[in-house]
Amino acid sequence: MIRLNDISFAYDRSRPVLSHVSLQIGKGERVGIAGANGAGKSTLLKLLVGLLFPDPMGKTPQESGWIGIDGIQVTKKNLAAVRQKIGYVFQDSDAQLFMPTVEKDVAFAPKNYGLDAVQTQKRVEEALSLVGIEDLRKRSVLELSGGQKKLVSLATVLSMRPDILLFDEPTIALDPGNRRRFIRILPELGGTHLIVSHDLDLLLETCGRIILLSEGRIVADGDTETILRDQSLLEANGLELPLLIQGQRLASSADQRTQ
Amino acid sequence: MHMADALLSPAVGGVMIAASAAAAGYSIKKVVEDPDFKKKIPAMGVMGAFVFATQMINFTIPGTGSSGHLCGGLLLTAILGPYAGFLSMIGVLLIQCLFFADGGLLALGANVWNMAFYGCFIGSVIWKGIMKTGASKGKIVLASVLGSVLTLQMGAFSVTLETLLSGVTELPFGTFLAAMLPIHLAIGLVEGLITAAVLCFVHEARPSLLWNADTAAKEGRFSYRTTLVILICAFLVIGGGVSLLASSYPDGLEWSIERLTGDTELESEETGVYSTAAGIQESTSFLPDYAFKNSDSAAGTTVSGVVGCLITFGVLAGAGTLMKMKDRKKTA
Amino acid sequence: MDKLDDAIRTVRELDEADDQSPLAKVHPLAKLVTALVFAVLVTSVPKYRLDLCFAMGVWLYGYAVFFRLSPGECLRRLWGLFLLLFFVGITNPILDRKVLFVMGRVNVTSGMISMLSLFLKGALTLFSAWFLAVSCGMLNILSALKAVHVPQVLLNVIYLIYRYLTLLLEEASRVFTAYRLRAPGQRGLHFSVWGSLVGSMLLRSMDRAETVYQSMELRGYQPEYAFTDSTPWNGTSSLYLILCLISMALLRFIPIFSFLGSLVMN
Repeated sequence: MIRLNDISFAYDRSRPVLSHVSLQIGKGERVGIAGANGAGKSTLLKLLVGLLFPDPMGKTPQESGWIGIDGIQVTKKNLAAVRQKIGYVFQDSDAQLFMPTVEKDVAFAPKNYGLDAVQTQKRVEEALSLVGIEDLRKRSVLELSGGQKKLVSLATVLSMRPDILLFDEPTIALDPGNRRRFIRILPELGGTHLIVSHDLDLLLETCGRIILLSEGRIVADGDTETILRDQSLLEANGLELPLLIQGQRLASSADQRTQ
Repeated sequence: MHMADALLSPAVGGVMIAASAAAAGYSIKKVVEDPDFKKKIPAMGVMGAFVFATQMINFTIPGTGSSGHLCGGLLLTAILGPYAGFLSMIGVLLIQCLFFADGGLLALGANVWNMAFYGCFIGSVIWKGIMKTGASKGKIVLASVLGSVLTLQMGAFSVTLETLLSGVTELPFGTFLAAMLPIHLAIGLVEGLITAAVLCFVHEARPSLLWNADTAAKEGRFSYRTTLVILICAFLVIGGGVSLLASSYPDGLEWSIERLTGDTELESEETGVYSTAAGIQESTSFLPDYAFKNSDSAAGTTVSGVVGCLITFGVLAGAGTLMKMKDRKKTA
Repeated sequence: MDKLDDAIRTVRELDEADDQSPLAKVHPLAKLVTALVFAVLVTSVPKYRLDLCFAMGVWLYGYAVFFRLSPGECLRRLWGLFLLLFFVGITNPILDRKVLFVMGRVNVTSGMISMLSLFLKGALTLFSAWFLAVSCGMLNILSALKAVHVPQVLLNVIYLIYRYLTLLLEEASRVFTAYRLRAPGQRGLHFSVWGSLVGSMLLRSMDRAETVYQSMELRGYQPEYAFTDSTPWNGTSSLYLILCLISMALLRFIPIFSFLGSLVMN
C-alpha cells in the first residue's frame, strides 16, 4: 500500500511543485496519474522512491508530511528497504540503461541485492521472458530501437521482483505496435502500478482509477470512466478527451444525424 | 605523455607510487570532509569519463595539418576542484593503464604524478590565483594556457628525470630535456587553448559549474601561497627520495657489464656521432652528466635530484610572480 | 573517429571476456599481485640481460597458453608503445657501441642489446597488464583493490568513470559523426567549434550522469557497500599465487635458459 500524507515539494520556494497532496493507493491497484506538463506528476514518482524528499515548507521536518510504502516510511535511512519494493521505469530509457549488454543491465539489480550467480541468472531469465525479449539478451543497449529500450528498461526493474511499479510516460517513445505490446504485457506483471502519462487513451485502457493533478494539487481522484469523460474538467486542466472517447462521440453524433 | 613500465626501474616506479598514493590519501581526506561529497561522486565519475572520451577526439590546429587534445587535469580541476579532480584523474589513468594499455601497473604512480598531480594541484593554484576576482573569458584563457603549459613542462621534466634515474636510456640528461621541454611547450599551448575553449563555453552556458570562479570565493580555506610552499617541499622530498633510491638500488648496469665483458669500464669509441652528441649535450646540459650515467655515489644522484627540484622551483616561482603581477594590474 | 570506435570495441571486448575466463575461480587479488610482481621482476632485469627478458617472456607465454588468454585488442596498441620506446631507446645503439659479439658480419653492440631488452620489457609488461584486465574485468579489480583497503570513495569514482565511459564514448562518436557529415574532408575538429561542440557535450553529460546515477541507486547500488568481495579467497587462489610467484622467480633469478643454451651449443 502506498500512502502520501500532506506532501509538499518545491525546487524553488516561490514555485511549489506539489502542495499538500494526500492519497492512498491499495495493493494491486493500477492507478493513472494525469496532468499537464509541470503538474507535478514526475515529482510525485521521485518522492515515492526517495530521489527527492518532501519539503517541510516552513514547518519542522517532524510536522511535515510523510510517505509510507507498505508501512515503511520513506526516509534516507529506509531507502534500501523502500527501493527494493519499487521498480521505477524512467521516461528516458537512455538514462536508465548503462550496462554494456541487455543481459548485464537486467542482472544489475539482483547482483546489487546480493543474489548469487545462479539466482541472478534465474531472475534475468524470468524478467526477459515476462517482457518477451529473450532474443535481445546479448545485444548492446546502445544499439536498440526506442521501443526495445523501453522494454529492456522494464525488464531491468522486473528482475528486482518489485511489489510496486512506477511508469513515467511509458508510451512516449513507442510506435503503435510497441505501445500495444506494452498494454498487453502490463496485466501480466502483477503488483501495484502507478502510471504517469498524458496518453489518456493508455490510462483509459489500462487503469481503473485516475488521479488528476494540476499545479501541484489533486483536482480529481476517482473512477477512470467518470474522469476521462468529463470534457470540461480535462480542458480546464490542460488536457483533452481521450481519442477513443472523442471517436465514440463523433460516431454517436454521426449516428444521430443519420437517424 | 604516458610512461610505460619498461621506462622505469622498480625503485623509481615504487617511489612514484608511494608519492601518488600519499597525494591520493590526502585528496580523499579533503573530499570526504565536504558533508555533501556524495552528491559530487557522479560528477567526478562523468567528468573522468568525459576527459577520457574527449582525449580521443582530434582537435585540428589552425594553420597546421596536425591535431591536439584536451588537458585533462586542468579541465577536471576547473570544474571539480583539485582534490576531486585528482581522484577522477587517477581513475582515468588506472582504466587507461589496465584496459587501454596506456602506461602500466608499475608506471601508474609515475603517470599519476606527472599528469594528474601537476595538472590538478599546480593547475588549481594557477586557476585559483587568476580567478580571485571573478571569472572572465580572458582570464579563463590565460589560466588555461598558463596552467597547461606549466603543468606539462613539469610533467615532461619529471618524465625525463624518472626515465634517466631508471637507467634505461643512454641519452644525456641535457639532451633529453632539450628534446622534451620544447615539444611539450607546443603541446601545452595547444592543449591550453582547447581547454580554454571548452571552459569558456561552460562559463557562458552554466557559470555555476566552474570551480571557484564566483567572486564570493571562500577565502582562507585554500591559501595558494601555503599550497605553493607545500608543493615545493613535496618536490624536494620526492626528487631527493627518488634519487637516493635509484642509486642505492643495486646497479644493474655495472653488474651486467661485468658479467658480459669481465670489465667494469666501458670504453666508448670516439666516433663522429658520439662526439657530436656529446657536444650537443655539453652545450645544453644543466647538470654534470656523470651523476646519471655512472652513478656510483648516492650523493651525486641526490644532488642532481635536488637540483632538478630547484629548476622546477624556479618555474613555479616564475608562475607565482606572473600571477602576482596579473593581480596587481587588476587591482590597480 | 577511429580512436573512439577502437575504444568502444575494447570496452565491449573486455565486458565480454569478463566471466568466461578460466581464471574466474581465482581471487582477483591473487591476479593483481601476480601482475604487479611480474612487472617488478621484468623491469628489474638489468638492461644487457636480454636472456632474462626472454625468460620472462617464456613465463608469460606459458601463462597465456595455460589459461587460454590471447592478446586480442592489445596487440594493436603495441605499436604506440614501441614508438615511445623507440624515441627513448634509439640513442642506446648510437651512444653505447661496445661490440659484444659478431653475428655473421654484423657487430652486435651493447646498445643494441639494451634497446632490444627495452622493447621486450615494454611488450611483456603491456601484455601482462592486459591479461590481468581480461581475466578480471573492472568489478573484480575493484574488489581486489578493496581487499587491500583502497578507500571506497576512490573505488566508486573509478567504477563510475568506467560505467559512464561506454555511454560517453558512444555519445562522442555520434556527435563527431554528425559533425563530420556537415564538415566533409576534415580530419579533426575545426577550432571554431572546439568550445561549443565539446562544451555542450560536457553539459549534457553532466545532466545525464545525474539520471544514470539515480537509475543505479534505484536498482540497489549503494556506494558504501559496493565491490564487496563475492568470491572469498580459496585454495585455488593460494595455489595459483604460490605457483606463479615461484615459477616467475625461478626464471628471473636462475639463468636456466643460458644453461640450456650452453648445453645445446656445446
